[in-house]
Amino acid sequence: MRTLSIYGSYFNQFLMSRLAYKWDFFASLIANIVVTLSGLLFIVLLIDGEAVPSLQGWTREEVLFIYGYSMISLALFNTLSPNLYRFGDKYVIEGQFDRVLLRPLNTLCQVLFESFNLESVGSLFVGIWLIFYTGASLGMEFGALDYLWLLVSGISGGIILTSVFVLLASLSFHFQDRLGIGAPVYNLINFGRYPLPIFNNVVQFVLKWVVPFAFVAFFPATHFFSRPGFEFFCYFTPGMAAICLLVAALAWTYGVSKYTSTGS
Amino acid sequence: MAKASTGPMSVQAADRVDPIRRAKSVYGAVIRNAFLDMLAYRLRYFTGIITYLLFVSVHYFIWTAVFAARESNATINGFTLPEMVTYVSIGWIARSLYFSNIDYEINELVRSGQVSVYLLRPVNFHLLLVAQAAGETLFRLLFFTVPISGVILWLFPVELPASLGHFAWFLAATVMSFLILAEVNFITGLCAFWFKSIDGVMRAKYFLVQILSGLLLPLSFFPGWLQTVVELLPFKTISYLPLQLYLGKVPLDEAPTVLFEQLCWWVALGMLSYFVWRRAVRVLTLQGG
Amino acid sequence: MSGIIKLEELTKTYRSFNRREGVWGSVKDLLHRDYFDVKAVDGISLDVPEGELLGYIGPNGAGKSTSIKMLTGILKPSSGSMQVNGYHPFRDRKAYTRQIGVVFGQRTQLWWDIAVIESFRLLSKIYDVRQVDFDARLKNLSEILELEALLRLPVRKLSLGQRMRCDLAASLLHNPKLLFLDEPTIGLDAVAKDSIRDFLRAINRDFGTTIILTTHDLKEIEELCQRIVVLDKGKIIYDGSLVKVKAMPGLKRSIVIDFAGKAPLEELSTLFQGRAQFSLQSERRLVGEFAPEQLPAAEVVRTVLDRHEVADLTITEPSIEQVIVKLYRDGANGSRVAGNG
Repeated sequence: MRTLSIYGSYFNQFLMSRLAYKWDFFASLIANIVVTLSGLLFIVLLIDGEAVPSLQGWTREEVLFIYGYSMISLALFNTLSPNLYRFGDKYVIEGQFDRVLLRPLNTLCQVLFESFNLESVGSLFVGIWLIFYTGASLGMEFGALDYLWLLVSGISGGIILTSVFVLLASLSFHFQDRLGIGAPVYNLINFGRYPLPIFNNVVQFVLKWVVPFAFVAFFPATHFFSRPGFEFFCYFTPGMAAICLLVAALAWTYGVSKYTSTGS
Repeated sequence: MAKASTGPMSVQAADRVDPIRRAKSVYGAVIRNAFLDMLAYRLRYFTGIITYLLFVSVHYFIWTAVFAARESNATINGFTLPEMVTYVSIGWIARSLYFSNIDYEINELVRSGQVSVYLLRPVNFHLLLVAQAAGETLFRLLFFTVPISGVILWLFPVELPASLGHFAWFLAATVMSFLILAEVNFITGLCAFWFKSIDGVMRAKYFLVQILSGLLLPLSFFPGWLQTVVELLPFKTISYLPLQLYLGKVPLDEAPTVLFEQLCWWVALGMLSYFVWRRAVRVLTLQGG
Repeated sequence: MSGIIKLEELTKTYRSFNRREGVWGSVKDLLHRDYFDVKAVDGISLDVPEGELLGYIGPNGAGKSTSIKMLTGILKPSSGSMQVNGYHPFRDRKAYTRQIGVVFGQRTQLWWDIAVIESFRLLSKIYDVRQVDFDARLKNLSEILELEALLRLPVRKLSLGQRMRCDLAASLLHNPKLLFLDEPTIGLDAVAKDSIRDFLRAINRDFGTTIILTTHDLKEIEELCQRIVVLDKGKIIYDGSLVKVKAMPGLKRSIVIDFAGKAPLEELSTLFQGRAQFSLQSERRLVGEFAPEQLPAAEVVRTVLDRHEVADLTITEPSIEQVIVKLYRDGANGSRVAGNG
């Protein structure tokens, strides 16, 4: 509880410094909406319902539903992730990680809570809207358990994404090189935002077991579809999140012990 | 200030001059250094190759799914499946050449305050950054584009260019793509003079260029009104038009007009970036750097 | 007596590689790297009693920063054992950080964009400081360090000296038993340096805080520390009192004599032949140097005053710079200078 309140204060602190530049915040918010919409635009333009009615049998509404689902996990992840992209530069090479190690708190939590992408919250709302809008066109009815599943799987998806990037960030402890994990790897997530069966077996295997982005949106979303065959993977989502978190935490802890503090 | 009077230590400190930090006065040297810097960050290079492959893969699968259960020679909006696979593959290969990190570099220079150092030097800041980006592109050509092309051409059924002439025009157009995108990135990077963080702006630009340049899907997939909008913007000359040359959708005798259009946009964007740069310098001097 | 800091054969090894030259060399680096090990800290042993103000010196690359970073729990030692106030700094990091305060001269621990007082509040929350204690300490610290006017400003608006005072206060809010200072006065003007020195002396005296200080400014060491540890090439080459090291054989005192008349250079040179060297600085001024163990100062003064009319005479003890230079030279010959700490 005390720990929670400390990270609450970290958040407040960030909010204060963020609002010191409020125009900046609005610009970022608009930029985020552009990003969200341009991602959506690709699907809307591609599966226009006329020349292209479906993606290998997955209707426009289904594809958009999955895409909306991914926005929830992604919004959680994006909010927490800005420091992970630049972790190598900002913390390891510049040596800012020294400061993190000098405080009686968990190092990973400090790094995650020192900076937020608040503007990503915008895409959370777009995602939720998209789910209910396309859900209605697909004739879905949402009960209490469905809402609970949405919450649990959304958080699980956020954990999976964050874990993958924590794992990548912890490589910075070992390699002095600047890692190119910013925008490019981010686009890897795209795989998890489409119906898994459109990919071949190798890719499906990778998305299930190596970089488990299929658990970010596709598998948990199948809970709402009447398409059989995905039940096990669908409800394994929280389990996968736990595994990812464990692996990431181990990699991180090992990385910290290899930290060389070359900065200064 | 205390350093001058600290006896033996200051001597040793003076001996520790980083040999890598050489004066970057000549643009040629800048290109060479950028090249060496890229080599130094070898992990970024390896992860980059894999990432590109994944980029192409995801779109390959999407397009295969789009064409699923159709005749093998069916066209959608003027493209057959083999054409689309070629469009996507060659599009990304070309992107590995023309993209640059100028916006990111400017942002870093502004954040660290080093930008004022550049202003004091008798070099053209704009030219310097473009030269540096060109050095990186040269690096990528050898160590990135060549292997990634090999892997992509091996994995996916990519068609050869329509003709040797088309290919030559395509290459020339790709050089222009580099120059045009460099201006777009330069202007994006200059936003750092006004905003505390331009991460959002850079990301928005990234996605906008991706979709509006036609890298993700050809302009013929856009609805009519959007096509009109895109026609009025420079982005289509970065990816869509060069790819039309590669695929032979533009006849050879019309190829010069494509390059002329690129040239016009390059000049226009160059003027815009000069204008924005003048204003940015004023912001910097007002704030005192 | 058992110290608050105990280090035994502490070593930190880094893996580094040779960067090949030129474009082709970089290509080769891409495929294969020549790794080799560098011992940044090479088996240092140290025992520091509670309440000591220890000066930690050495040139760049001597292992100073690396050992401080091991002592503060930032770096994991490669081998050797260490215990600080009963904790292993790296292994018990979270609990240990509550015991220590750390100030790095070049880098602030405070939040850049928010008011100093907000940073203090957050830090006290992080370190679990009770509100009463926080109020009392803040009052005390802001009085001594004159922070009152700074508390409402964001850190980015502070001067280097002001920022350093705030950083010092921040490092003491949780009342640490040990304080580590890495170049705390780097880049500060003389006035700011003085006030920080006074402050360090005061907290060492009043609260018995053990202070480990690294600095390039040897005057600072001279004014603050009773004991110094000198590092070179990852090893301790001297550990002992500052007074004793100054009495080390081979160090020279310098003398400046202003005569009423013409300076008798030749006479004095003959008189103290081999034991002191003199040279003429102006017509009436003579400067010289001599080793105390060869020639007592009293003898020089008596001899000069007996024979000539002297307007002024100054004798200077060996400077700390000289001491350090000598230590490095001896250290380079492989002998660890004896000293008892």
